[in-house]
Amino acid sequence: MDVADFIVVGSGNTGAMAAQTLLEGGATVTMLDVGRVDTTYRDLIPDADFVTIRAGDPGQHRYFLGDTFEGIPASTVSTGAQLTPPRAHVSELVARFLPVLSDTFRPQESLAYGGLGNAWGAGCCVYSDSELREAGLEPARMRSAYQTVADRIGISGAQDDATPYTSAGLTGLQPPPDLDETCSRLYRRYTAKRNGLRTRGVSIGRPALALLTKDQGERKAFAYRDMDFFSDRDRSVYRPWITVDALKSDPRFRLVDGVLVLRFEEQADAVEVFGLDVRTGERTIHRARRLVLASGALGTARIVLRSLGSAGHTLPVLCNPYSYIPCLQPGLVGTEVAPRKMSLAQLAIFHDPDGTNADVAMGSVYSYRSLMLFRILPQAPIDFVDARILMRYLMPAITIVGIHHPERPGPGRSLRLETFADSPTSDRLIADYSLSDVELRRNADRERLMIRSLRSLGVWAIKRIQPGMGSSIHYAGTLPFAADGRPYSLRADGRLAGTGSVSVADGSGFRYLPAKGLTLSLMANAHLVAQEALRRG
Amino acid sequence: MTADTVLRDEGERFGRYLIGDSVSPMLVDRYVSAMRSMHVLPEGRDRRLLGLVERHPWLLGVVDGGLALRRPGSVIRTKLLVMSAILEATPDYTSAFLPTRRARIYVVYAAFVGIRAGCKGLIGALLVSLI
Repeated sequence: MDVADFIVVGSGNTGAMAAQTLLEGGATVTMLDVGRVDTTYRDLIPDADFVTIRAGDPGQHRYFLGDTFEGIPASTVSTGAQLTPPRAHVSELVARFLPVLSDTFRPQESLAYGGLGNAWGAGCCVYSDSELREAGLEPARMRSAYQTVADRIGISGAQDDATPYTSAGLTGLQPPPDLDETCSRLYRRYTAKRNGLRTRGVSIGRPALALLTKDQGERKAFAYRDMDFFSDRDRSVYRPWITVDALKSDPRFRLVDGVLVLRFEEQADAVEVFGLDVRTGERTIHRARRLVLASGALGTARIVLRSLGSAGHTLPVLCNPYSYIPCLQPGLVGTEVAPRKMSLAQLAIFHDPDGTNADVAMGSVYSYRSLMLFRILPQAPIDFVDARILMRYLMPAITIVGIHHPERPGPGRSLRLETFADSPTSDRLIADYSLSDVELRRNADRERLMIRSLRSLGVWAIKRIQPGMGSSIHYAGTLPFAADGRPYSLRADGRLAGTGSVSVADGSGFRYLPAKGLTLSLMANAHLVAQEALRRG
Repeated sequence: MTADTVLRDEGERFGRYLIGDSVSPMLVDRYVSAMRSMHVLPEGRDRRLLGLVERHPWLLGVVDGGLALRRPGSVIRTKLLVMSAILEATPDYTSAFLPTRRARIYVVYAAFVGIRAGCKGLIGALLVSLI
């Protein structure tokens, strides 16, 4: 094959969006990806809802527990512990090929086909103009890019108090999915007490989701099977591999899987990309006229540090602090659970203290049942027999609220590479992540306010669980946007400073990480970076 | 006794404890397989506690409750979690794990279960600290 116009590294949300934009612009694209897929469980899962499966499928233990029982987590609060066996390939090979040494930062990375997008909760949020500016993104162009991405992936949502934080300015949204009894009860109470809560800066509404509620092409409308973290059979929830699968039919697109990209070298008329075949251990070389890195903020940091020959250089990093709070709605204890359920967030709660949409904390409200009891029983400080009886009674009333906090650069948050002979890449990331006492207090205050607000709506927090830094799986800011072209920064168009043909399409450039889910913004930015790369020719 | 026999006996004991009835040999085999895969090896105090509940199975609830308070990540709790997960992912026991509608009076039973759990926990915590 001729040298491609572009090499795109990574098949996750940003790689998929960038590749699509490049192809639509007439370029030829080679995508390099490790590309792990689940071939063990995906065909075992029946096309049925959770309750029907539980009552009828004698083989369910394979995909609920895993063939090696990997679905029974040693710890239920660590990063990635909630991955189900059919999603476990998301973290496959990561410990071996992407080692991280840290006592304070536990990131989740992926070498899967579709990357972390396989485990995405599908929440979509547009950033406000002030958030975009602080992140280093240009608001007018991002607004247009948000719409392009929304049209590509399909988003459902409502017009309500969440809209300014989730889907402001987006058109063509599909209707929101139905709320279950747990969340509709909470929403009704919010509607009744709305004014009082809004004066405290608290808003609740329906999240925008990358989920179809109406058929669209080969993708089917959401069927409320509550199996959303096990199966993508009907493709109603957007996953980046859906895009990459579609791109494969274009003769100008080539996917090379099994390759972990290590570094690049710019030549006079091309860029050479050096990889490692994860199956054979052999080194591979790939050439293109331009390179678009979309390996995630941490993966791209590794590639850039190796390529610029300065592994010991320290890079900044951003990650949203995250807590989750199991809650109880006493009025629902002992009630029946309707068969139609969804595992994704049904409501979103925002704390916007001054109403400017500039420094917002976000909570996502879940009431799914497919979590299975064995994942929560060990949390109860009582024996398993009584815990099962009580949890079964309480389960219909359990709501889980996951809270993300906005994050800005600060001291004590850094990455660097160090030589590590035991890794196939001969190096590993050393990471530090700590929050100041002021930041910890601010986040705790926000959580207390959200908990108080929920209590006023009849939702009682049971405990607050802090899985540690890295658990939000939102990473950014390793190569922050800078207009002056300083080393280890990105130009506004995504170009890596000091290079002529290398762009970064993931969140490495974001100088600020709003609490709102970042995936839609990552995809919109990737689209813009690809457009700029096309424009430079 | 071979290691598999020990695990099989343990699986039967834990299954009966968790669900109140004997469990099928297939599920016991699954438990043995899980223990082999997960390399859950008791040492020191866990080994002594396992020996205690082997000799006196009726103490299992108390030991479980005590460990839930004192050492929730202990080997016995991990083993019970595995057996509980195996039972939950079996159609025969679905009804023991899925929520169902309860009459309002059930709250009295739930309160009783909560008090019972507390008592087991307190007695168990004392027992565990002595072993």
